[in-house]
Amino acid sequence: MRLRVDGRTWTGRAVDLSSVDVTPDAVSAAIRDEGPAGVEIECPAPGPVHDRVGPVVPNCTVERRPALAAAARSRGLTAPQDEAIADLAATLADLEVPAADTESARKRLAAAGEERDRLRERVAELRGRVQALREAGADASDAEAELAEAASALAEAETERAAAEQVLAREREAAREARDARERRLELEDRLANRRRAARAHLADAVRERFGAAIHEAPGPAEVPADARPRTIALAVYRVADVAAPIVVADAPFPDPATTADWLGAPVVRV
Amino acid sequence: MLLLVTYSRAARTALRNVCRAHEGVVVRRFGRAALLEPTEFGAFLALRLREKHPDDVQVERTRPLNEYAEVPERVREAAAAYEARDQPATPYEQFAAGTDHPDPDLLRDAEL
Repeated sequence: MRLRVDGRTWTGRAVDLSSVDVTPDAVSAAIRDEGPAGVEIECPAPGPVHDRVGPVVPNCTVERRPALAAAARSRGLTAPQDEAIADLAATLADLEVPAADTESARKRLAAAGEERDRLRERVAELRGRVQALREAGADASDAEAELAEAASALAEAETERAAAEQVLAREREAAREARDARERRLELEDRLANRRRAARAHLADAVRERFGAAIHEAPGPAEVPADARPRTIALAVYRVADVAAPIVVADAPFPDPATTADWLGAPVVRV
Repeated sequence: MLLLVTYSRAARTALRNVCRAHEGVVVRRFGRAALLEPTEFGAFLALRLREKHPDDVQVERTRPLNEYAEVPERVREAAAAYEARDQPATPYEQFAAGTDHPDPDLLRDAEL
């Protein structure tokens, strides 16, 4: 690996940056090729094990089963669910789900309903006025003309509302079918997630003994898998795994990065 | 009540979180669906969920069914008579044939 930090260069399998002002996260990011300015690393790309474990720091939290599953896969192990997983993932990738949205139809119906109600009130009001004028013996012709206009507008509004209702009914039918497709997709997604979970259980179990041995072999006070410290778990997972990208170590019970690299079986950057 | 139904994993998880955070508004939970109180707050939660997951959240408004006010007597009678039938294996179509009970095809075409 080749490392460049703030103009200085390091090469080799085990690099010591403990005297350099750089964080474990910055180096991890650089290993992923997403590093901040001034931090560059040429090295193999990190994989799922690095994603699951991250840099070895005092309070790292590692989800044990997924991390061990990743470590198992890095050793070339497979799970009996793998074919089903690939099939489900492929089916899902090709699945098209149509839109299931009736919002514009709802808006149109609501607007049509409001307009219809407004005109109904207006017609009622104008009728009342025409009636009052007639009873008073006054000239109602202007009011009658307005009433006729309003009645005509009301008829149009009723038609529009009926049309909007029909459109909404159609769209709801379409939305129901679209939701059928979405439900099928949900079922597939759940099946895929279950398969993946089962695969992880299988893979983690396949490396259980190696993991236990690694925990036991970690320098320092003897620990057991059931209640090992987070840092020890991280180190043990990396030791079980077969990775090529450098491991960022901020805190390790080894005298120097080279020993750490030997123990882990991978390049190391001590931060 | 307001019926919320979800159609994706993300929407389902979001619904679960909403129900957990606002127990007072939740009348009933069914996994990927829930019934909420028909208050403005219930509507707010429903609409917010739909904003977050457009197309994967369905919102319906339910109301209790008063069959005595809304369902014709012949339908109610048919349901009771069929449930009380002597032969358990008889399908309704057969049970109704030759009686005054409504034919199922007619029932299917009739809106409430």
